[in-house]
Amino acid sequence: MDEIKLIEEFKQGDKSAFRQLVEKYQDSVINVSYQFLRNKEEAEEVAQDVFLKVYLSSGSYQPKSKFSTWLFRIVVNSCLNKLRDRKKFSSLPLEENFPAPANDQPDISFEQEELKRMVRSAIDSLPENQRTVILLNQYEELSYQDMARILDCSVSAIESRLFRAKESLKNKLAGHIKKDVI
Amino acid sequence: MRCRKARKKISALLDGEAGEREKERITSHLRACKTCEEELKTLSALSILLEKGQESIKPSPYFWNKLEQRIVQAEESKSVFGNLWEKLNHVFIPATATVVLLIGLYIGIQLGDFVYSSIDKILNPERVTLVQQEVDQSLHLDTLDDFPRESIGQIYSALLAENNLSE
Repeated sequence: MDEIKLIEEFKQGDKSAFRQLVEKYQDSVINVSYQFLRNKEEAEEVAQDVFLKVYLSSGSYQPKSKFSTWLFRIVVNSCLNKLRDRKKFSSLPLEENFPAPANDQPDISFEQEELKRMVRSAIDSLPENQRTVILLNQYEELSYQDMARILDCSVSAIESRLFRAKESLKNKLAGHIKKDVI
Repeated sequence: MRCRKARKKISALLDGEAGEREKERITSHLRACKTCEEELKTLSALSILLEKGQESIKPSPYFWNKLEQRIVQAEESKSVFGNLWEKLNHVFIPATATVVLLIGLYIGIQLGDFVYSSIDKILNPERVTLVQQEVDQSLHLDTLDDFPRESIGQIYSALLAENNLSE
């Protein structure tokens, strides 16, 4: 069913329309949350909070903007708030706070795991505004225009943040870029 | 196009975000500049590396059930608080409005009285004296004139006169 129609039906109180929206976006919302938080339980908790917020405040959604833009704005804000709360209680970096889940797929080699850890660590070391754009761009493949709307800034600000983020990642992952890809 | 600007735009080119004109300008620069061409290769390799480093998770099988439960709870508490608020509104709003009205009335009366008497004193000092004489006569204070000085009657008379003047 068309997304706009689903939202309209949901706003009129149709719970099955809301369920369809949740099913459509739950993977993206959980994964974006996971990229920010690096913790499965917390990512799921944030995703639940996000959909509950969407359900309770559907009246404030303006169909002028895309539903996904509105949704991801809530996701990003919730994740950043969670990270700020976490910082208050601990000075340890993300990796040390919440190590990656144990590898339950034996065919994934140690080397691949190590690569993932390096990439995660490089992204986590970026400043918050650069990390946010790189995660939305790389993992959610959102357009610059959508990212600008989500983060309430200009498209050129997104371009600059991405440029700086990639410059930094290039330096941090230099050895791996040559080894694995080129 | 200069190298710095071209490098900034390479990401947009790779992400399919460059417009037709911009795409032409970047590609013509890349053809002429080996360093920027190398940068394009590095950035596309970085993108692949970041993709490889991606770790995705799946929602738990009870995701919807948990959410549905939370929605029911939220709606219940919303309706409990909503009803309570509605009931409180029926009492609090009229009560507050009445208190505010009474306070306003009191302040208005006091203010009006003060302003009127002050203006009256300034504009009609003679009338004040006349009023004072009328008060003296109506209370028969002249009967206290015969009392000796510093007697209770004289002190009372003096106090009343003082009080009338200050009003």
